[in-house]
Amino acid sequence: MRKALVWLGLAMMGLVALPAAPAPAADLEKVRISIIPIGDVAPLFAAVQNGYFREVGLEIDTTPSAGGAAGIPGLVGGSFDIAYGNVVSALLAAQQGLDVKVIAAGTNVTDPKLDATGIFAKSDSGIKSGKDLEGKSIAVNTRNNVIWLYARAWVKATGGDPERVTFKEVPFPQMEDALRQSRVDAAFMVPPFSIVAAQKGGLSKVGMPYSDVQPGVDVGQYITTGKLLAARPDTVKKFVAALRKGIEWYNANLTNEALLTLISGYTKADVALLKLAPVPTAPVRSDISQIRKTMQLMIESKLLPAPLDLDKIVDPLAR
Amino acid sequence: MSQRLGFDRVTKVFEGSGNDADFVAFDDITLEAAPSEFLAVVGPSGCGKSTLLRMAAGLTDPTRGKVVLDGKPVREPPPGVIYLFQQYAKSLFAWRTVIDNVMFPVEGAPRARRGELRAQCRDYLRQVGLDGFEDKYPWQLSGGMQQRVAIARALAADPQVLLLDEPFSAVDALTRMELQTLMLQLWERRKFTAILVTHDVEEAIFLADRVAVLGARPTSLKEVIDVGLPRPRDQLTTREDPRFLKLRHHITASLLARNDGHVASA
Amino acid sequence: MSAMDGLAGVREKRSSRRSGPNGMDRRAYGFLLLAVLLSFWELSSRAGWIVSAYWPPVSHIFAAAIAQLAGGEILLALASTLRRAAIGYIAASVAGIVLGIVLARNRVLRYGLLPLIEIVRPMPTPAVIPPLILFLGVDDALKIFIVALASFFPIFSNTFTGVAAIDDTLIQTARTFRTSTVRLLARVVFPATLPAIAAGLRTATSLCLVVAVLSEMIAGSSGIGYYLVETQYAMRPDLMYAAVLYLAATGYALNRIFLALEARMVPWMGRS
Repeated sequence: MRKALVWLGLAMMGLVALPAAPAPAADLEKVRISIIPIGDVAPLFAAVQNGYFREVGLEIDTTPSAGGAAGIPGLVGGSFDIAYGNVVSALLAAQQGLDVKVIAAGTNVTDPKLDATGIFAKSDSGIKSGKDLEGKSIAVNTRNNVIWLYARAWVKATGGDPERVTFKEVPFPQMEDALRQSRVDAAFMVPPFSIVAAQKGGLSKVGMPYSDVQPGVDVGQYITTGKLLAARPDTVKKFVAALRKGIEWYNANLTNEALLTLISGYTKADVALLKLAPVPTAPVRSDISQIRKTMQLMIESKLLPAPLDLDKIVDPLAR
Repeated sequence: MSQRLGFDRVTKVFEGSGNDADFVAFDDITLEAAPSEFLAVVGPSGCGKSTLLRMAAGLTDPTRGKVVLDGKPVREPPPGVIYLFQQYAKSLFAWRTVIDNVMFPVEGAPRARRGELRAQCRDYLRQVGLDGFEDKYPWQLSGGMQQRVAIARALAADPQVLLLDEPFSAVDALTRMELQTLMLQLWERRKFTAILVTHDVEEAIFLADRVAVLGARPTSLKEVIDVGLPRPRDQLTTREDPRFLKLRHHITASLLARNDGHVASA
Repeated sequence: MSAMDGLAGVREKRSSRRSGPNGMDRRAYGFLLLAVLLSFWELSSRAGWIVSAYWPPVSHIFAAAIAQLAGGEILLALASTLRRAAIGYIAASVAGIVLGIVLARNRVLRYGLLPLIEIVRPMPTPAVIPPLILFLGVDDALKIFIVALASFFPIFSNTFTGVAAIDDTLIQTARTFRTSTVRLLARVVFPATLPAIAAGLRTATSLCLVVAVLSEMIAGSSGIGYYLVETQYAMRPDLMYAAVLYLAATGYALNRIFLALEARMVPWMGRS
């Protein structure tokens, strides 16, 4: 029995001693960023890969989470310095009294030709507009978020009443299956899922909520807390400057194979798959008028009771 | 008469729960055992005999009166008072080998003495006839052998008073006789005070110097009888002794009277 | 607690394993069924009966599993999951065994702490994650805590009921040998409860791995849980299922190791 105990102890110690996270390089200031492993954050990874952050003395530590669910709680709890998230999450957090600041633009949708997102329905379903969806269901990844908001806005813009459409929560990867098995009548999909779905046939893209409802919408932002901004203003400034260099490189290399290789590296998606999707340009600055439009939509959908002071939420750094 | 262990006007009441009435286990019992005496207490099953021993071991307190050991009242389990349970299987440490079971009472001793104590414990095992079983586990032994382990362990604790709670009632008749003989040998060798509780009248007479007979509920002390049979006792000759038979008749009649008084007195 | 008793009672009959031709036959049937099911999977995917990006042919999954092994990445992911599971498991074991014994033996502490434990027990883990992130962050502290929390209850419950079920005779035997309270707990109560503790530990063994994977799905950049989410979003179901395969194999191996250890450490289990 003693011997067995000793062995057990050794085995346990071995497990505990298994490799933890690698140690950070010395004398670089570490910045922890919550990201969503999708094409949106390619400029950030471009800046990391090209050493723009190192040049300004920053070491970037990215923590991916699916759908960015841990981003804002982690930001407020102090686990992250910066979080990449969508505009709706940021405004909701501000509404809840959390001290969030938008410090840089992430993604926007300006050119409909490059908008790979879309509402999909079965080609033989006859669904063409929001009006056709009344009494039917549409898949969104999460309720009360940006996808849900623009799906509602699109239903309304195309003649339907969003209150008469059922919004079902389905994770992005499962949307195509749900659609093909008729568990939902339509789905608001994003790349790469929307690309793959369109490839196989049987499904049609019936609308592009971002481009149709609000051309130029600022979908994603990098946010931090007012507390961190006040405590480490130089760090945030350096971050934004290096990120902008990354955005510039990204915009200059939209058709470069190297960009796809970069995206493939952090998403694990095949380059062949990525090649199918158009690569949209990334915004250098946040457009506060676009954020205001989003806020209006949120008020209409009762996500917000009243307008927020955007000048306080969107830091001058981002503009 | 010098006294080692005494029950001084002991009453034990078990509090009833809810609507159940309080239950008086026994009432106003005074009884004592002399040093090196073998005292047996007989009574029908369920008369609270075990509770008497449990009080002597300091495992439970009397409601009234007191238990005295060498002049001092017993509260916590006193040193040198060892209890031998009827349910030997539940009393042995299943995760320990036979020798480690016997070692249990002396494990608090300094490390330097371990070897010596271990040799002593091996000797106790030899005394109870378990030579060569040191490294077996209790579940690998028969019932009678398990009780022998418990006896050896009791010896290791250097008992001044050994409390025997129907220790031989759960084994077959032949094994019981063997264990009785063994117990007498050990008692004669070690000269501890033994208090045996049993419902087996013959066993009480065969082993004891005196037999205390417990009466009707709430249990009280009916009489204490001097056995007066010669020692060493023998399973065949002692049991055929006319005095043995006379005592057996007397005590059995006394016990039966509890349930069937008019027949006995007739 | 009664549910835990039930779990503790279900135990494989290790000693009575069948051998000989009869047993071989049964085993072959099991493999045959497995082979048939896998063939159906392969066929359904290749023939296009089931059209989904998440229904690759089985052969692709096995190919991915072999490729993963060569890359070493899967082993690193498995290692970091095992590490979190092990730390959480050890913490839960210590806390569960100590609290289980102490609460079962001490009335004051029992009245004080048991209500708290009973209230926390039914809480679904996903519901408490947002506040936990606030206090513990999104790193190892959070994940290990979640693992420990989930593993704690079966260990605690089994220990607690195990101690309560110890026959009084055993405790009183020790008391008549004037055993101190500490020694009584360490040398009598603890070993006497070991079979029950082992049952709890065994339940927790399978649980800790699952919960570690779930916790890695919340946030983070390492471990099998993250790998599963990542490959799912990258539309690489072959890699995803291959990782699940490794996870299942690990879980099975852990269970076998546990059974072997249990047989050595608690040889009196089910006897006495």
